[in-house]
Amino acid sequence: MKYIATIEDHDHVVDVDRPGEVLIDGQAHRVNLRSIDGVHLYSLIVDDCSFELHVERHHGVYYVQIGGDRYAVDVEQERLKRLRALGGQRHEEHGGATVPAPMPGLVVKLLVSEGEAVEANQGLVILEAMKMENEIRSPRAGVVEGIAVAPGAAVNKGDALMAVTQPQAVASTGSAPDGA
Amino acid sequence: MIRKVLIANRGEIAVRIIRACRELGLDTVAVYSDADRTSLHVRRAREAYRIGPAPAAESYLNIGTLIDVARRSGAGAVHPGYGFLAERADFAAAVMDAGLAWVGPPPEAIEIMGGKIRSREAMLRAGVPVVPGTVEALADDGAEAAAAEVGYPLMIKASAGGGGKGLRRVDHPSGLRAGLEAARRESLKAFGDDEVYLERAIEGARHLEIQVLADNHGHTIHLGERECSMQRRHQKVLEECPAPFATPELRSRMGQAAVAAARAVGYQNAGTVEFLLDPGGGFYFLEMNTRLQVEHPVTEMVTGVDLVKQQLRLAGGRQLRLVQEEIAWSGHAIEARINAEDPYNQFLPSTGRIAAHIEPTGPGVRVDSSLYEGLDVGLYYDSLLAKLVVWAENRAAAILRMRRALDEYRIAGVKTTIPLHQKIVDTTQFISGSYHTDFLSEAFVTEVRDDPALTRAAVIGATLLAHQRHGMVISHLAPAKGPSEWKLHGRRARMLR
Repeated sequence: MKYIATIEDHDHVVDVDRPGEVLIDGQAHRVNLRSIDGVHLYSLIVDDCSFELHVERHHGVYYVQIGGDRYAVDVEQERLKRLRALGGQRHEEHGGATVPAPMPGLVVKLLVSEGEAVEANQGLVILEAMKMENEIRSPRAGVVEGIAVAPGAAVNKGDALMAVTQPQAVASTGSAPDGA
Repeated sequence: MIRKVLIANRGEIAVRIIRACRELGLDTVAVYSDADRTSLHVRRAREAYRIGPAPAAESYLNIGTLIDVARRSGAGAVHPGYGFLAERADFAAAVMDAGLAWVGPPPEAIEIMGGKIRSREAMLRAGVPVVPGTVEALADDGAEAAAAEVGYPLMIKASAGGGGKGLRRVDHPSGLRAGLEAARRESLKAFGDDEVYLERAIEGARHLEIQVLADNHGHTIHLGERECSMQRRHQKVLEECPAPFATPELRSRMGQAAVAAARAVGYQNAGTVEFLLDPGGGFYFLEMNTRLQVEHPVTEMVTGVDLVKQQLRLAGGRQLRLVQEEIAWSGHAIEARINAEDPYNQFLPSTGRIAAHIEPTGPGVRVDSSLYEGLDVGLYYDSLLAKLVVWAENRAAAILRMRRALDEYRIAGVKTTIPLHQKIVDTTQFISGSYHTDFLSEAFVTEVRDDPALTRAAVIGATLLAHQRHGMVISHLAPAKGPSEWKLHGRRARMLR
């Protein structure tokens, strides 16, 4: 299976067909990846060099932190990428539970708390932008998790405010290695 | 004689105080809000009392409840830590009125040092240098004349101010009126008081502070300086002891000024006098923090004095056994504040459950922390999670040790400022020691190292995880677990046979 991994605006062809080996742009590397905590931490050995990775996935992009550096890696199957280049649409995975800020602004008030069950369209956050108070509403029914903002915090457009996850989705991510 | 101490705080500082109490053989009483039932300070204390719901105003700031718990538990003393009620004269007075020992200075000293205009006046009388500026609260009439006398650029400061609120810099006379209005409005909103005064702005200033200790018998000493210039939005980020360029002569002069400042207000117990140091070596009183500081460990590492134990001894009315001439500074210590903030996203606060937690250890490393795996980091309190402190024989070795310790530190589940510190310790400004209070910029950590090995590791890690996610067979990712319990049982059984 071939993938295109995009990092810092560079595309790399990554072939992962053979166990214990990957080809990056045709160059072979011996690799061994192990999960440490079952969630975010991984130990990776590449050609006898040891790395520890902290990995989170948001909107299909892998954020890999090594030491103090964080890299954003976009990974797509080569076949799909080629199809898309021919005019197809990228297959967007649904299930992004994050509620992003629809505009830059200042968080005035949180209307919900961590772990609270909410209905679709229920108000989550009051965001002040351009001197107007705007109620940000839940896109779905679910449970509030990972509230990422506090009153007084300034947010940019697209910043995650919180996640609203469906209860069954919470249960099923338990076994996923990158359940971030 | 104190036998039992109530710790009116939470988080890492409550854990720190409990440690000192236990080493002194004192019983400990923790208090907790509903958000903190399983917090480390509750689990480490001998007794623990619920004091209310999660919001601090209904729990950690509730003086009546805290005094009630102190009485019920039979505590003989109250340690306020820092933050919350630590600098509230009314709390200190309430503790003393209840017949308990207050681990801090007299309420009168808190009162004087709590107001910037009051404290500047007291310092001027005591002969302690203050930043040139207006002595009395500024009236709107004649503000222009007062400002011209102070000179531009200048700072408008709220008398009640702190944490950067009610603070405005004015570069030209044309900006004075707007600055005054904004500072007054902000101060009124934050502190319920709109008194302001003017100070000359000092360019390229460093922020140094002196630790003092005073007993109830007229004996006051200082334990040298801490360098606190590494700040972001007027919040300290990293501290050092000693300051990179401090000479024994400067330390001695600042130390004497700090002791004079403490004496001028009848100070007792541990306190910290903050100074601005101008590029020419002149220093000016900024304010006094009438409590234990967050960054007290760097002084402890270098002087060998346990400040919390000293506080508890002094609160019990004991005499200082330390004398100024015997205080010695050995080696170098650095503290990195680890906050639950995302340095890659405007330092927005980060919440969540701690999924993995691996603390650095090894020679010269100290971690003051309240973290554990499974802890829910919520929105209710300060974002400070832990303090990583290193000590080494000199500054260069301490920086290398800090870099090593930061590399060992793993916290997963919330975003932390560890990457910020990893960037700071690699800058030439920090390594050379020539940084001042506006060194940290907003976009400080967004650049990544262009290291092909790291980039390749990131590509491989992300691709293997994507491959696994797509349900493909993966033989690269082996489970972390060792042999199964069944196999181990079999092996053990064979060995015993």
